[in-house]
Amino acid sequence: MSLFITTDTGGAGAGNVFPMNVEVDLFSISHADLGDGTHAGFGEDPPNNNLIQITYDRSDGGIPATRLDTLVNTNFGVNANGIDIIVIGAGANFTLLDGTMAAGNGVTLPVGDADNPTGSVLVIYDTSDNNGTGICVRKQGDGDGTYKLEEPSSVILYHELSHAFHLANGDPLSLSASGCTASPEENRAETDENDMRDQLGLPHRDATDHCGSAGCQSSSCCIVASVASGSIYSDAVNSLREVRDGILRGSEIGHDFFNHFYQDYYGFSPEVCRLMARSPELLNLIRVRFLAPLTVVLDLIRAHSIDRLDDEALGLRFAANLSKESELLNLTHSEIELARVLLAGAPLPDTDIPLVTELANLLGERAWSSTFVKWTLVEPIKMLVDALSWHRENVNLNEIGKRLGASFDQWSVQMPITPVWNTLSMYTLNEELEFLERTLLSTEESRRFFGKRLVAALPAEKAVVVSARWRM
Amino acid sequence: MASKNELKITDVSLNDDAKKLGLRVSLQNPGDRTLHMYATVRAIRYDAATKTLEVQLSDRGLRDVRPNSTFLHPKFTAIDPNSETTLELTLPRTIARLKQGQRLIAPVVEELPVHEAKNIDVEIAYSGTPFYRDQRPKSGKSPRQVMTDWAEGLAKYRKRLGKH
Repeated sequence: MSLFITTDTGGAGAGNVFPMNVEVDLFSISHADLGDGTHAGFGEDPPNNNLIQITYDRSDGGIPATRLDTLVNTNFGVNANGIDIIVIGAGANFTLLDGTMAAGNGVTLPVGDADNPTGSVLVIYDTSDNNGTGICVRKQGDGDGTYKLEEPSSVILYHELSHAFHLANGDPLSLSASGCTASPEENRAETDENDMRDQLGLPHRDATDHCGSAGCQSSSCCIVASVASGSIYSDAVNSLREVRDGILRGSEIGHDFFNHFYQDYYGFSPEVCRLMARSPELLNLIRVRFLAPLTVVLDLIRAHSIDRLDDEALGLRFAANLSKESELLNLTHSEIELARVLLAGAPLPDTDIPLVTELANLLGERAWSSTFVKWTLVEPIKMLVDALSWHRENVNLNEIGKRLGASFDQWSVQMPITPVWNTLSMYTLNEELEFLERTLLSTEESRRFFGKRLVAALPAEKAVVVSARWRM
Repeated sequence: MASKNELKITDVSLNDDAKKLGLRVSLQNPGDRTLHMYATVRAIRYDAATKTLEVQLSDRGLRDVRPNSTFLHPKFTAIDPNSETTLELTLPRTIARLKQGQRLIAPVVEELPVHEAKNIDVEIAYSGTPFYRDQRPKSGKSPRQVMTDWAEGLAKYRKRLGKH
């Protein structure tokens, strides 16, 4: 005796628990195992005491079927009644004691847990597909922070049965984890879950990640870029998202930096979007003169600071980027100058672009006063606008690469220093310095310059670490 | 100088169509900055004695029940500066939960008649910045904690309901 389903025959269960759905999911886990001449396959006993016992005489050789066989035919000894694991198929109206909605999720509760009134390991999982909205998790190999992979109810149940198996077996792993990183126990269940996905012909879940969303979605990013480029999946937005999530926000200082940046950026960016919605010409201006330069310059900064391209290669990379961005290449002198004026917050020349004055006022009032916005957006775009001007003046690519590299180094050392630096442990401080060496401060000179600023901002015991590491 | 971000709930109404409850929350953002807020109900509680329904669109105080299959992030929506909007939510007419007990042989489900509510409490988490998931491998916070830390404030509203 081992695996049971809660029925709806007694109490207030009717219409609130869905044993048929659980049976269907378990049958799916068995790989629709109806048996053969020798084995009886998947089955169930009549309800007794509001429970249905699952029986399984396996003829299927698959991993999920084998796990189900173990769950059904092992006496784990969780209690004296021999009822080791009970599964409740919940509907969209099911809640835990604190009111948390069960919709879209599954939980496995050990004996003694506040939410488990039974003497068995209790699995509660949603059979309503999150009330029809669906659940999506991160797909293996996707590094863009999006939840694109569906999580069907049979996969949720198989995941929970992994936990139930290990709880009943007395060998659960640690549940300790931070953020969306899967704990060792969750990592094991998600790895198991992928066996069920194989059986269903679904792609694998990223077993290192434990978060998800209601319905499949993309990770939002950069609303001005999304509106200006027309899609949250555009190449421009994807590249910005990759820099943000793939590189910067993975570190403590990058994470804190973006928290400060968002505070300022979202103080004006929704209004920029509203202006763009009212003026296609303004949208075009922002797309070609701000977004395209930003996308290109981030690629070049990455090439310089992370890939360590030399001047000549950087110049060639600049040219290659321009050939892909024909609108950028075709900007006239006056168009470039208008971008420069807007970035500088200088008085506008005469222009017939609707709402550009409103844009200039908005940026002047709310954006350009922010050191975070200035460093993250304004200065990089300016560097690219400068390079466009050099290109128009027929400066050779080697020289453009050299000038850009020098600009990047001068810019990188001006990165705003946020208060989080003071809170870092010595170990983390060293990790963060190493992170900056890899990603931003590519030369000894730039490290020393930034190091001086850091030393001035840090308490003495931490300043010593910086001085020693960067030989100041 | 911008004022402190504050989301205000100006009214709530509950409509029972005999299949589900429609909760309409009227909101106001009196500030000069777009506010971002939960659009997903994270918890519902019903006190049958006082006929009070609590609808929580925040992660405040919710238990991290683990292990589970996924930590589901809520959906979000935004309200423009100096504007008003409404949030339309669908709630079940009844909620089901397990009766408390100790080492029972089988769990017992109890059903709570949410549609009989005479009072309603609504709580919505909001912030001046959108939510972005934490990309750090070692943030030291559970996903739930990350969500509660994101909230810059909680808009709350209590109403005695008329006939619905």
